[in-house]
Amino acid sequence: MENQTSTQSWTRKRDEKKRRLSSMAHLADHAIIKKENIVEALQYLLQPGDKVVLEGDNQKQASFLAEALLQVDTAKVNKLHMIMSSVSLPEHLDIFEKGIAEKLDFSFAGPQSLRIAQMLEDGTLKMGEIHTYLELYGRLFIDLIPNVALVAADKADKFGNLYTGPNTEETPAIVEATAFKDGIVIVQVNEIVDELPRVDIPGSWVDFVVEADKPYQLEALFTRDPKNITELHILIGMLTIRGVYEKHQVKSLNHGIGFNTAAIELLLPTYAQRLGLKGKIATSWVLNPHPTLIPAIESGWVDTVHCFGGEVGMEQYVAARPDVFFTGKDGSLRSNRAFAQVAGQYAIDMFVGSTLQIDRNANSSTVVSGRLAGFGGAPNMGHDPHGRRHSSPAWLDMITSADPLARGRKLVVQTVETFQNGNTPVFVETLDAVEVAKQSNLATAPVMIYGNDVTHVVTEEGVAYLYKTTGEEERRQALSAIAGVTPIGLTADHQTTKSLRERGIVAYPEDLGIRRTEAKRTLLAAQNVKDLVDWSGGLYNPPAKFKNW
Amino acid sequence: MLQLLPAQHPVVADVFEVAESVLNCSVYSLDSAMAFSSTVNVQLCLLIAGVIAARRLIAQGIKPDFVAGHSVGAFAAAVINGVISFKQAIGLVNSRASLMENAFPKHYGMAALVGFTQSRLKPYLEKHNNAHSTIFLANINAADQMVVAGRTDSIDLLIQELKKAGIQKAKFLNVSVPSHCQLLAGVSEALKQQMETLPFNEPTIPYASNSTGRLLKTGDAIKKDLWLSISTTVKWFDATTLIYESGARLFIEMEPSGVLAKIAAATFPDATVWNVNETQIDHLGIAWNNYQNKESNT
Repeated sequence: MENQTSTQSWTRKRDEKKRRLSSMAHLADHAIIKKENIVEALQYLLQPGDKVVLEGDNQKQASFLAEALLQVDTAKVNKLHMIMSSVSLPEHLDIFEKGIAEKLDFSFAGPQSLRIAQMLEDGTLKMGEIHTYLELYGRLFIDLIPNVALVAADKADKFGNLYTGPNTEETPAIVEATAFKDGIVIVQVNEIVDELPRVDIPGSWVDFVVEADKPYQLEALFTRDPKNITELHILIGMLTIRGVYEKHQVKSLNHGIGFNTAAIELLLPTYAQRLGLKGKIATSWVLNPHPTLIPAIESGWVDTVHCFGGEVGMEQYVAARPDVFFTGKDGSLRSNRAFAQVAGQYAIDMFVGSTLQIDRNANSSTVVSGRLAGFGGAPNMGHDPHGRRHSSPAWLDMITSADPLARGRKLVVQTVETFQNGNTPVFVETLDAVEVAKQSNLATAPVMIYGNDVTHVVTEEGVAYLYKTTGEEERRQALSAIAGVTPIGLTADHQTTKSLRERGIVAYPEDLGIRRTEAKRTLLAAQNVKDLVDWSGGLYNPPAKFKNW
Repeated sequence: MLQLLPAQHPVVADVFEVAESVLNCSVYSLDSAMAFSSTVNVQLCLLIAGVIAARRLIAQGIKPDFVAGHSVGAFAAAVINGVISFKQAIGLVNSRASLMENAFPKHYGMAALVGFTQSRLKPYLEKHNNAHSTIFLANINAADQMVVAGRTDSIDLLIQELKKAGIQKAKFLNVSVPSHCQLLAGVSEALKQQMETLPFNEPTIPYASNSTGRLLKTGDAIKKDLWLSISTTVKWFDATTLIYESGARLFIEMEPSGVLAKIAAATFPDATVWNVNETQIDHLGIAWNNYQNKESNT
């Protein structure tokens, strides 16, 4: 075989980066680009067809760089292939309308889910794939390696070292994939300072920083006001605590962001405490800093919490509880979405979520007709990773056979009311996702959690222990038994349900020693946001829209 | 609807004058219980009231980023974003309503359905249409609020079916024209011809389309929506959702009604929703300034 090294360049990416950097040297002072020069700088640094990561997490947004990108001359910058974990801002899609970008790989698009579906249908945007977070991060190192990353940090120094603080989220993952493959890393910062509280990302990974005209946009996505928790949420919470957490002695877990799980968080120091479960369940968490977890933390229930991102208003509280949260030498939270997702996939025993639709085989989806919301990270956590090897009592408790090679399972729990908003059944014959896949020409239907990964479904009617069922028919019967008066629930047969209850495949409240009338709001450790502030000793500082006292 | 408006207000006086010059009658003759038995008068009053309300807000310094009009309201929207003149709108709405009135004089109507999503309604509608005179989906106003159109006897049977299936609300609307479905394709065609020769301007702000649920940014696209939408489903839920996703957080419904404000408040819980009425309309400029200040402080 002929040796090609003498004729072929092995540094084309490095050379191209060098060319781009020198072409715009007049616009930068070492690592610093002035904000008034950013649009022109982008016109030198971006080339048509580039793969570009524009940082939009579901909380932090590189909003200044998004606006700058929108202003580039489309004759110079076009046909970009955007890679965005979260499509959240109108600007994220305006760049496609203007012809600056052409193709999109993303993970979550909840706040833009109709527009993205329309643009796909109209051919304004070409779809790459809709990923889960971990798949998207993974592909940044395989076949979606960025040419340019546009990300956000709180502070930088003049060498380009970055402080990303409580909202570190996925910035390190994006920057690593770009910096070490000769891509260009451009960072918007709220301020450039002489000394950083700590270095979250070293300056040698960063090419340019630009001080934005205003701080990056940040949403309080994980704040649930306890005053909106209903007695139905509380009943479901009690059933889940007794029927799942206590029964399987689940210690490590993740919660979704619904009111069902918020109720559980607020029932730990009250209801679960009275059951004598403190220290036996729910001690180790991968979770954003949910304000509704404050009472459980203050009551000594929680050993540790690793966070995907921060939460507006929780900064001081988290900084004052370093035994519980991961914090830096400066005292503030260090979050990391990629590691938290890995932990949520492999290291915890249970995922508890909620959903809008469940079909008769327990497949579930939050997709509604005509909307492309994507996945985010729920599917990473809401499945049983078959490669897991380490054991724990909860994981081993899922074994139902005597096979000497039998392995445990992660608990994947869906907690839902049988009807959402009182009139739309959650249990349906066919998920809307099936129709959405057809409309948008997707390769697969956008199922959030696959039925064969779900171990438990909890409704206000009871708990279905799906992991114990044998075969599809019994699985369906167990679901029907807890699906209330939805069309799926009405197919339940009295005798069959009786047998399922006797065999422990279905449990109704009375089977778990719960009286429905016990489910009162007075059981909640906090009734409203003010109570959460009081629990925190004034360290929690909720955003204005939650301050209603 | 028009009786309560301050006739001496410059905006009101101006709009009344133009309307009367085109219609050759007093605007007050359009506005009575008796006059409202004709859809022509109802639609003209809706146009007049809508344009007046919007112009009174704009005169106070309120600056919209988007316009959206439901059904005939789309004509007022196209006046406000400068695509057609109010004078043209009066002529067009007059024709549209007259054509509608003459299209299906008997046995047709519409019904409002509340509580079923489109995907939940779909199988019932398909099954029904296999056996009976076709019922069309005329409006998708919110995730669970639809309007259907067709023959009244067929609608009656559908309502019974849906009630059996547990729908929250299904009842006839007090209209005799099956709007926003293929039955009115002829009206669309006639309007299209009428509009062909008219000059349409480019919009000053985007317009939410009834027929496609898209934001339209050209005069031609808006022209097409204005003639087409009477024979296609009103995609109000999509149109308003798109406005919301595009960044709007304050929705203001023009006079009269309040129905759309209710829908917006339910669909976008974190948005601010106002519906204009005569008692507060001239004070909304102050509310607008307060809203702007609040937004820039958060």
